[in-house]
Parts: sequence; structure tokens; C-alpha cells
Amino acid sequence: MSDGGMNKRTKLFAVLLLLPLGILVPVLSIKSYQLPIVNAQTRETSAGLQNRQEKYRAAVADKVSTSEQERLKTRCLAVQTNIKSLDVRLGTIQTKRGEAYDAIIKNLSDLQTRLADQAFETSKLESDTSELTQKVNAYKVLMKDYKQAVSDMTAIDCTTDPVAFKGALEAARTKHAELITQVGGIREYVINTIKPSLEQIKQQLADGRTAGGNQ
Amino acid sequence: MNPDSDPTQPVQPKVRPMMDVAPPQQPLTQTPVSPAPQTPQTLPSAEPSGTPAPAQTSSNEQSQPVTKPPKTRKNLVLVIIVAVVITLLLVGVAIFFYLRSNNTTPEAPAATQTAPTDDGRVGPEDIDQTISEIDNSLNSVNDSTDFGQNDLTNTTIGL
Repeated sequence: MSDGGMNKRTKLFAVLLLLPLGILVPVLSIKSYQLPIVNAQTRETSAGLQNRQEKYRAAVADKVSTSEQERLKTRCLAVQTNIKSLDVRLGTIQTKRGEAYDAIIKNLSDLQTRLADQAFETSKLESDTSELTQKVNAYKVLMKDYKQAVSDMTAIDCTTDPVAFKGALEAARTKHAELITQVGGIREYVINTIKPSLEQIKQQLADGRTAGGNQ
Repeated sequence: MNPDSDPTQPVQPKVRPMMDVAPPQQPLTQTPVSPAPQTPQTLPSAEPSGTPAPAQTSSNEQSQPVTKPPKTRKNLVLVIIVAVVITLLLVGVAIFFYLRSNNTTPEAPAATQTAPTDDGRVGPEDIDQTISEIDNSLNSVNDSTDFGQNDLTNTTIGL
């Protein structure tokens, strides 16, 4: 009877020990995986934000009057709410647009490789693709800076440092204007340069030419 | 005494012929003829009718082995619980390694490969396909929506 009792006790102990482990281990593994990333990001954000805040303040220090500072203090919290939604939207835009541009470049690169394999002259296509790649890389840098400025607007304590907040806003506006120009330039380049080059190659292939090049 | 007069006692099949001798004083053992497990009891005529049932049961325990409660069912439940716990542990480990493998920089989405011609050479249709894919990628983004002119005006942001 006592042996049966000990057996039961052992089994119960084992279940009571393993059952929480079965729940804790998955949860802790996920948290422990994410925690260093979050901590690293938090540390970087704090130090980087301070540096950027100094730059923002320095950029507009002479241009923000006292009355405007007071006005910013009273309204900036509501502004930050609107900016937060923009910040979220920009994250999606950054991802989606980056993927679209990368897909275009990859299409061109793959085509270039296949044409080169059949000894087709691809120097024009290669230079066009290289130019497009530079434009896309410039866009990505601008987009990153723009998103950073918008994020900083949500992070800065605008009630105590309205000048830095104003500086971040002006920086975001500048990047925004540059981005409008940049993405327009990329679209125009693809439509007016890349596609005509491809049409020319298509015509040469249709003519039965095995080697391309301008003639 | 008629056995049928006691409703608590099941009717015993009459396996023995009626005898004109005095009934046996000791409780009868089970006969192989009776298919159903007999409730261990004595003939009513052999014992007084007021004999309590537990006494009968306890006396019969000495003659028959006591059936233990089914332990296999309890063991099965424990085994199932342990199996579930082990499964959860394995799932947790799998999730951990899956998340770690997903932390690599996401690759750019692979563009649809231009389908090669039968002999593998690029033909005009391949160029058309490339142009079509480029158009699709370009049309998947809207410049005026993504970067509207009024995104950061004072009116729009509430300043």
C-alpha cells in the first residue's frame, strides 16, 4: 500500500514539475529571444535620439520664436498622435516599395544574365540596370532618413523641447520633398529608359539577331 | 423459505434437485453451470433473513479474490499528460529555433523567373514577360498616395 502511495506521489510530482515547464519553456524561449533585440534597440534609440535631437535643435534654434514655442507646447501632443499614424504607414510603404523596386532590379539582372549567356550584347541593359540600382539605393537612404525624422517626432518630449520637435518636423518635411522627387525620378526612368531598352532588345531578338548592341 | 420472497437477492437457478434432507449449513460455492457471476450468498433457507449484506460480502471476500479498481485507466491518463507536456516542450524548442532562423535579413522577393524558351534561349516573349513583370511591380506602388504633397502640412498634422 505504501509502495503504491509512493508511486502515485512520484508520478504526481513528475506531472506537476513537467507541466509548468511545458508551458514556461516555449514562452521564455520566445521572450528571451526577443528581449536582447528589444534591449539593444532601446539602448541605440536613446543614444541616437539624443544626438539627433541636438542636431534638430541646432538646425532651427534661431528660427523658432518664443510664441511659436508656446504654441508648439500646447498643440504638439495632438500633433504627435497624427504623426504616429503616419509613422506606422511609412513602415508599410518602406517595405512594400522597397520590395517592388528590388523585384524590378532582379528581373533586369536575371534577363541580363540570360542574354549574356547566349552572347547577346547587354552593355546598354547593364548600364541602365546599374543606373536604376543607384537611384533605388538613394531612395532607400532618403526613405530611412524620412522615417527616422518622423519617428523622432513621436519620441521627442515636445512639451519640454519644442525646438527639437520643430527641427524634426522641418527635417521630415525636407526629406519628404526629396522623396517625392526621387520616386518620381525612378518611375520616369523605368518608363522612359528601361522599357525602351527592353523593347529594343525584343526587336533585335525578333529579327533573329544573336548579338545586340545599338546599330 | 422461498428465495423469491427476498427481492434483494437474485433468483438462483435451481441447479440442484430438491432434496428431502436438511439444507447445508455452509454457503454454497459457485457452480460452473451458472453463467452470470453470482452474488456470493447463501441459500435463504440456511441463514436467517435478517443477515446484513455487508457481512455476506466480507465473508465472501475470503473465498474470492478481490477485484482491484482499474489502475490501467489511471496510468493511461498520466501517460497522456506526460506526452502532452513533452510535446509542448518540443514545440517550444521548435519555435525558438524557427524564430532564430527567421531573424536573417529577409531576401528581396524573388521576381518571377522569365520562362525560358524551349531551347533555354531568351526570346521576344521572354522580354514581354519581363516588361509585364516590371509594370506589375511599378503599379503596385502609388507615388501620390505614399508621399502625398500635404502629408506634413500644418493643417494635416493639426499644428
